Amino acid sequence: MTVCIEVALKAEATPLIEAFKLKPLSGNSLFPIYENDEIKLIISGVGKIKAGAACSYLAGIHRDEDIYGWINVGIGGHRTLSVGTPALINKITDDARKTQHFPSIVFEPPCQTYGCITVENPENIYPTGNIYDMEAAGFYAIASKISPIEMVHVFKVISDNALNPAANINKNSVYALIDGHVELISTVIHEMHSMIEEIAPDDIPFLDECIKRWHFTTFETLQLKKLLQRWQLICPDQILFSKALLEKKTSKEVIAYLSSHIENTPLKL
Amino acid sequence: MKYLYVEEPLLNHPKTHMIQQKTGANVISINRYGEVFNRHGSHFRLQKKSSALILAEKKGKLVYDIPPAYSIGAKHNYYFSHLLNCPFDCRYCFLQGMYRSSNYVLFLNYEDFGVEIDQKSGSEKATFFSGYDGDSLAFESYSGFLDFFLPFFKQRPHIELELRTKSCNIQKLLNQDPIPNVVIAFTLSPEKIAKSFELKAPALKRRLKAIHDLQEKGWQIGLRFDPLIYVENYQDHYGPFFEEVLSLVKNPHSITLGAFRLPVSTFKEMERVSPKEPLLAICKQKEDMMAFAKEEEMLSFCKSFLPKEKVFICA
Repeated sequence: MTVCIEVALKAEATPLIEAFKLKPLSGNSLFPIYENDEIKLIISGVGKIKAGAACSYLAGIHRDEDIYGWINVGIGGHRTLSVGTPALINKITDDARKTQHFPSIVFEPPCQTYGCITVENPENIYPTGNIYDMEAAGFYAIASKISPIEMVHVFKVISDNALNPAANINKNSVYALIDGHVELISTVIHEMHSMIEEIAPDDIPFLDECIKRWHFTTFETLQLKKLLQRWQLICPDQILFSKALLEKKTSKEVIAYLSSHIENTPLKL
Repeated sequence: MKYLYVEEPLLNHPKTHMIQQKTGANVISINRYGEVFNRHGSHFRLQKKSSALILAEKKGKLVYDIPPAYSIGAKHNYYFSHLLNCPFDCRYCFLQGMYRSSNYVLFLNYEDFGVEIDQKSGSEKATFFSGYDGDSLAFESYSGFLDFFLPFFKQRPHIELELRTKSCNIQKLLNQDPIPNVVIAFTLSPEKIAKSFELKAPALKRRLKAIHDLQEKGWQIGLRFDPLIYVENYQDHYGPFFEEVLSLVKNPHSITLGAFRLPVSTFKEMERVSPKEPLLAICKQKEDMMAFAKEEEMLSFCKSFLPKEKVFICA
């Protein structure tokens, strides 16, 4: 049940690697990847194309694992917000394509939320009241195809504004900006992990025992998995391997028995 | 409510300002409501944790035909939806499977609905149902639905309006004289079932009090026992419940009775977003619908308590 973090720069990644105690993924990979049991982090490089590509790559190489959520963490500019201001993004506009995305924030945001415009080149004039970045639209377009949109978020820290131009940004300042908000980023990731628990299906009990005892076709195995999950929801206190079930000779009889038992069991109040 | 998405042409609509002031929500402009409603990849159950309100204009068809099986006596039956989704969280609600989004969409172009209702109305009796895609009254403090549609139907006595609700938001109705062609239809379930399955909805006692007050005032009351839920010893819950409700409402306008049933596609989506919901786990497929195995038995039991001439079975 993994949440993936995507950042553009190594300097944005380092405070998160330290805070979450992430280890580098062994072997060759197209993008640097760090991970622990619950979090994976990928460094995409600058720009929306690389951000999107990194998401696809990470999802592709971990397709057997349960990736449930995504967060893009990075720096951004704003005309008036102070350097260091944290922001969760509620609207993303792709400046070049004029497309819009609306992250669905269903938890209490730990900081103010703002709109963000993803631009192709660094923005120094800040013509609107939005945050300007270079990755969010590319990241969001891909990540929202992989996970539910409620599990895809963008977190920015203001690195430059009209009085503090982007030219002043360096590795150390980027590190400090992200490091100053590791706790907020943790809060968002924690919220995402809580949501995962709500939507992830429970393990399927007694599956191996059934498969050892009777022979099920592939289709019947799918039916069996569903029925065992339902059994767990409806009558977890009843003995599954009752005399009545053990008397069944074939997989078809087992499925018919389980179906009938479950469908005729009234709900408990 | 934290976010109020507003279609750009409605940003200066008086209702937008009123709702923003009442809720203090963060206003986010959108082009069309589809950008934030029912998007591919949204998850109804997750979104339900904090649904946003979307203000929009409904385009295209506004009033739809209803199958004869859902009639409450009129020859012609239609529904229209000024609101998509509902602030209550009933575990059995089909909206969870019909939409991928739990955000509320409030359509503000009531006048256009009125024009299409007039176009559908002929000389024969027709009923217009308003509470199919959302509770008719629950959002009244934002929607002002009654302010427009009660006078509208009052001026058209040959057509009937059904307001279907679980809400006790009835003050506007109590503050005015009843309109004979407007039926306030309450969906009711036995107390323990309501408590367990109709989350965030007013308790049965409060709904019965609302019915009592509206009846005293002279409004026509409809009773909606739909869906029936197959619980342990359901007879012990439904029997005394019907007796209690019918002792309160001696002359209901109409009663509908319906077992829990869902189209297969709706069921599958509900099961996908609520994989741990026991209510869905006991359903079985009957042709193209999912329903309880004991559906017929329950309907037959419940029907025996109700006055035949008033009952319409929804199948």
